[in-house]
Amino acid sequence: MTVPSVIEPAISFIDAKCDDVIMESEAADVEIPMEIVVQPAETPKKKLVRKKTMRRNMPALPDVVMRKVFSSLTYRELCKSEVTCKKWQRLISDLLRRDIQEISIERFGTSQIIVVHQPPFRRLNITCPADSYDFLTGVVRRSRQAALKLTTDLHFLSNMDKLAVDVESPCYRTYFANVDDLWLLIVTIDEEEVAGFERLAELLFNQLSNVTMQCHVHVKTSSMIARCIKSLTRWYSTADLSLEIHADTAEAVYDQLSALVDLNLYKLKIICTEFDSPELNITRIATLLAKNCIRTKILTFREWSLSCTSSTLLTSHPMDTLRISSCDVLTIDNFLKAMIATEKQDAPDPKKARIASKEDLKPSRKRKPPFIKRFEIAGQCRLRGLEFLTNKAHKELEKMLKTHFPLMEFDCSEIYYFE
Amino acid sequence: PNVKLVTSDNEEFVVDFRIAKMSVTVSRLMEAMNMSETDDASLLSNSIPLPNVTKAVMARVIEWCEKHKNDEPKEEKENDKRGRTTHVVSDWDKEFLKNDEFGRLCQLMGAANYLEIKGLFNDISQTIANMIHGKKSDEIAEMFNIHCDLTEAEKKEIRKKTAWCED
Repeated sequence: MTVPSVIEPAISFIDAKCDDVIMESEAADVEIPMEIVVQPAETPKKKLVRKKTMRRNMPALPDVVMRKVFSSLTYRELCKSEVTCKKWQRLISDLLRRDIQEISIERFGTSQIIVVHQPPFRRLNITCPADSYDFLTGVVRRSRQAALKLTTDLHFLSNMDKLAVDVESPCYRTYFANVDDLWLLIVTIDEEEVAGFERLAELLFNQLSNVTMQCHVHVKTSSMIARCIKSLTRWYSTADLSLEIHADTAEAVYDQLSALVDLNLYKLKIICTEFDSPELNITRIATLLAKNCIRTKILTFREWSLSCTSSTLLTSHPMDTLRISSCDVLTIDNFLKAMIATEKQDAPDPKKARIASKEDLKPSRKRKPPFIKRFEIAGQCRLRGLEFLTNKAHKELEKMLKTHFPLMEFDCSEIYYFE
Repeated sequence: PNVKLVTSDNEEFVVDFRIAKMSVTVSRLMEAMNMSETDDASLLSNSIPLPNVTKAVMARVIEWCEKHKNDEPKEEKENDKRGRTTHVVSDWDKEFLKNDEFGRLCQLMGAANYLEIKGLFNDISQTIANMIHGKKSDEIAEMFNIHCDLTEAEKKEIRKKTAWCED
């Protein structure tokens, strides 16, 4: 009978040092079920018996097997397994690079570290105390190359230099070289964070394409938030910047807009956080934007009672979309008159436009594209002045818009009424 | 029809053609050797050598295959609530693998990997993953008998980063 010498190929033995292998004579031929018995062809009378302990008979599993095993472990378990050896470290870091492209960091006064990894979405959600620098160092080190999207609060970015992560070496000049989508959340803010952010902003990313800043504004914090925005636009001027202002009073919104200057936004969203929708004046917003040279392609109002002064401008710069979502529109009549005024200003020569009202009626007049290209009204809105029409109010609004602004796109289909 | 499989320690196993087909590796070898279900002569005159599998392991593999030969090809359940891929190990399989100590499980895993029997491979990898659940990193290293090739400094560095998960 020919006996193959060893079982090796797919299964190799780790740590099979000579002193672990005991040469035994035939007398030791007792059957121990757990043993692996290897019979070298040259010494048929003797058996190489590996001891029964775990240490001796442990085959190293192939990478493909370990990858499979690792893929059903949690982030926490992978971090534990990472400490074992270089090979595992490499396998795990490859796996995490593939499975984490988006990192989201939240705090909300938590006292413990919670990590939720969602491989199908390639996302890692972290909740941790603000000062978990060691933990965050690990997270950043594992994902700094692979991360494409980052959602975080200001504190994390302002304290990047407290992490043991290198930005001096030639291959790492920034903390997140490949992140191009940033969602920055500012709920609370202090002087120290702003200073940290101003100092580090340049080192954070190589280049950003999209930035959304979600700022909860208060009268006290408007200048600090303005400084953060300035830092961001200074270093990442090519990014599309969207600004979400969350406020509980109209004053806080006016105050925040007064603090900003020279901004080209992709989207400006003004959201009310107070339950009983306080009044916000669009005329005042438009005046502030014009005065401080703030332009936005999309302007959204949500959950406010929106007022505007009749026949004033809703915006003095052309806009792609104006969206009103779940608002109480304090008289449609005023709003419509303001919209008409807004659209009139588009004439190249304002003086001529006013005189040429007769000419305007001529059918040969070349039609100008609308100043506001698209108008949307959605959610649970109250259209004051059309309320007698109950749930048909938006139909009437549509009709009015169509008559006055034949070229404007509008969408009232998402509106709904409270029974 | 039956197929002859020969293990590394020269043990011949005669199994049903359908069982043999459960291994992608064996099925590929049979194809290469022009063995077919309808051609009895081809099955009788050939045997499939499996130099990476021992007798003891092969017996276990066949036991598993016998049980699962009528299984519908099942959809992998992609993720649980934590988002990780989880394979549900059936009760019979749990019982089947229960008494295997870790070393033997690894051998069986090696065989399932080599023979490309997906169901068994998934069962065992999930069982191994379950064994990692709740263990500390040094316990994991011990279980897998990993010789740590990290320097003390490297270890200390990583431990600092991963201290949060060792509770």
